Amino acid sequence: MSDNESVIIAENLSKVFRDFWNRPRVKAVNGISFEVRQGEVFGLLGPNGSGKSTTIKMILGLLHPTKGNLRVMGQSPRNVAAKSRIGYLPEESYLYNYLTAEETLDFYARLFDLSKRERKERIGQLLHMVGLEHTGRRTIGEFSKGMARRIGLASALINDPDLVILDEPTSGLDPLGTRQVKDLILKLAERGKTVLLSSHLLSDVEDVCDRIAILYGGNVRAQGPIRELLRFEDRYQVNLPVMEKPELERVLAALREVMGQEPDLDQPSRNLEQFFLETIAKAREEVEPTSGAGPEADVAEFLAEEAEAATPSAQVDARIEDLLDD
Amino acid sequence: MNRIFAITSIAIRNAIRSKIVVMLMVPLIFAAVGIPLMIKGDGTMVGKVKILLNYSLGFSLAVLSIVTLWSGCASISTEIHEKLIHTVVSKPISRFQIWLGKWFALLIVNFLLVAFAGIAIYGGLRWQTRLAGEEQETLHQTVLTSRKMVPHIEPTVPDEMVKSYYEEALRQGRPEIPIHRVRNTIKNELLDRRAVVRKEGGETFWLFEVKDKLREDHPLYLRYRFDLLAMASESESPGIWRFGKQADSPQIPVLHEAQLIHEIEIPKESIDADGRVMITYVNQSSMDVLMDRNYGPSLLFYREPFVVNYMKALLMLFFQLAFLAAIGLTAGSLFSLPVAALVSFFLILLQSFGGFLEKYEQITQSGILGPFYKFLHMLTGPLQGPNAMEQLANGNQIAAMSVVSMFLIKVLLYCGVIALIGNLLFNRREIGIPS
Repeated sequence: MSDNESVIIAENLSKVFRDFWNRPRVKAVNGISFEVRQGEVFGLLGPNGSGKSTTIKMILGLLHPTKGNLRVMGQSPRNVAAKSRIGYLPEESYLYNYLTAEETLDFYARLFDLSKRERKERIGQLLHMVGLEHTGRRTIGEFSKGMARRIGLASALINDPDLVILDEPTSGLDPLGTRQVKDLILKLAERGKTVLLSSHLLSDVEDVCDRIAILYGGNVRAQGPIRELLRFEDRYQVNLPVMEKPELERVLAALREVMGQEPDLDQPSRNLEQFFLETIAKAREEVEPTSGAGPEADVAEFLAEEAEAATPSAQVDARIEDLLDD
Repeated sequence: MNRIFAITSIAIRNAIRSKIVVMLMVPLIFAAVGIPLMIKGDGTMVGKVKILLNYSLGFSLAVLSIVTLWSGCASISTEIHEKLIHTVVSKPISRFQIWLGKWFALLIVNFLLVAFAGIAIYGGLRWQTRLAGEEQETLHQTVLTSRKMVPHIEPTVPDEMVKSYYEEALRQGRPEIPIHRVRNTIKNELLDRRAVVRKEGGETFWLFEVKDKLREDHPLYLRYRFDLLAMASESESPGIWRFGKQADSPQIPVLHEAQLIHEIEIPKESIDADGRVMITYVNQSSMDVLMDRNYGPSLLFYREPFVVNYMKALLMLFFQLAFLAAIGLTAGSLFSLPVAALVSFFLILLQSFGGFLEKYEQITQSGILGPFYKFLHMLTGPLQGPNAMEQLANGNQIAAMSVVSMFLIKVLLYCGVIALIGNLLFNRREIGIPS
């Protein structure tokens, strides 16, 4: 495994939890190996208890590997200085309830030794980005789970990290927040940031990840680029524009003749997420926003600075090119 | 430092917003207002003020000590338990900086609370003593003051005496005493002998040397306490204090009660040009008298205003709290809250036991546990400073050196060592273990 442009390298990584008498109790991670490269979105998937969180905690230095080698940004996970380039969103919002949203972000920004001016600018932009600019002076204890999650996300990005580790980032978020997080992940990747995403919401992972590793029982069961893993090697899909029935019949007849069998015919549909987002977008044009988290804005300026060039259409083009190359 | 102060500032915000600080002010106000109302004392204002200083400050220290130890234990252990610390240690901040930030927060909160308690108790004291009347003068000369205490000169023990004592002890088959301790043993025996003043005209003298310049407007006092060496129906005993070497030197006849601390004003002119004075006690009672060596006799004279002494005492209380905060934080960074609390209380108990060993040094000399006691004594010995509250209540000056050495030893040295050992272990701790 090369460490050229590798942000995380895990080799034969194991973690055994021991009891008070130092007897092995649980083997949470069992000799896994994977590599996360710079600029990619890497997904760690697996059911509960599969070892995802344990792996992330080892990457952050919260747990020490029992065996194996782990390098983060070329350093040991316990290296304090390397953490200045990492942003972390834990699986639950571990925040100080007595602090306001602004104070929370300011606290984390101070841990990165940011100047007062930088802190002020970034806090404003991040609160705007997560739709909480009007609740900056409310204490976290008054927040809903989703609002606290948004503050957690903002705090993970306060240092404009090179490596973003997101543990169940969409947990507790409404579909709008979920969409925004996914857009944000894509935006970060466009800027060359590396994202390590842990989730058991497969649709989230499918939408944003370049490569994934599926864990089960502390072992890696599958690993690779997501499109390769999901592709049916023995099938093609052809999308046709809407056409009159006689034309359609002609196309089907031609296919029958070539294939020698009846082709499947189905009408494409939006997924529920798309439908929900369209409905809310229409509703927003008609009424005032609700209390609590406001409508989400664009990605914070300091996070989006270098990403503007990559427009959504450019993204689509790039994906088509990838597909053709494959 | 920005990172450390970030930790400090949120810990202080927590203390204020969780209302701990406000809640703590209630017992501290009680110490200043409630305790004086409950104290009866010996009927004199001087006695009442002495007790008040001891009880009010003692009560405040006890409350703040318990809360500091508990807060120290909870500060890190709770964050580990609630996983709040995960988002902190995943940032570029070392665990030592986290510890230091929390410690500074405890120091700042304690400093403010000690200052609050100090001002409240001082205000209560002034209010209590406003109607002291005739006692006002005595009060300000003996309690609400800061006097230097000069002990009497101890007898010198010549080398020949040490040698012959040692050889005699060996000849008599007495338990062997290390040669370096023989001189102390002889000195103590001499002082014990001198403390006994025989009945019906027996005399004992003590020599004093006053190196400081005495202030004209403040008196010079002799402090003493004695016991009667026989069962007596009356506890009062007649005697004469003589100040000087000559038989016709100034004298003060006294009729004083046993087992009480006495202070008498003595003529300053009895001190010669070299600052020396010989003070003799003539026992006129029908019983032998034993002068209590713990109370001198000693000379006392004014050095500085009471407020200065009071602030020194508060500083020493604050240093003690800083030490407790370090113990609590270290225990809390290594164990869960209940275990950390138990460990901390055990350590404080050991420290107190060290004070006991200080008084009874012979315990460390014998028995199977001797080496353990000796080690404990060595470890806790430097922590046993003077009792600031007792000194304050007796109007004794708290030496600036005592304050400085307490800061150097207790705050810098011991807290530093505790922090280093604690952080060595804290760094190795896996704080992401599922609970």
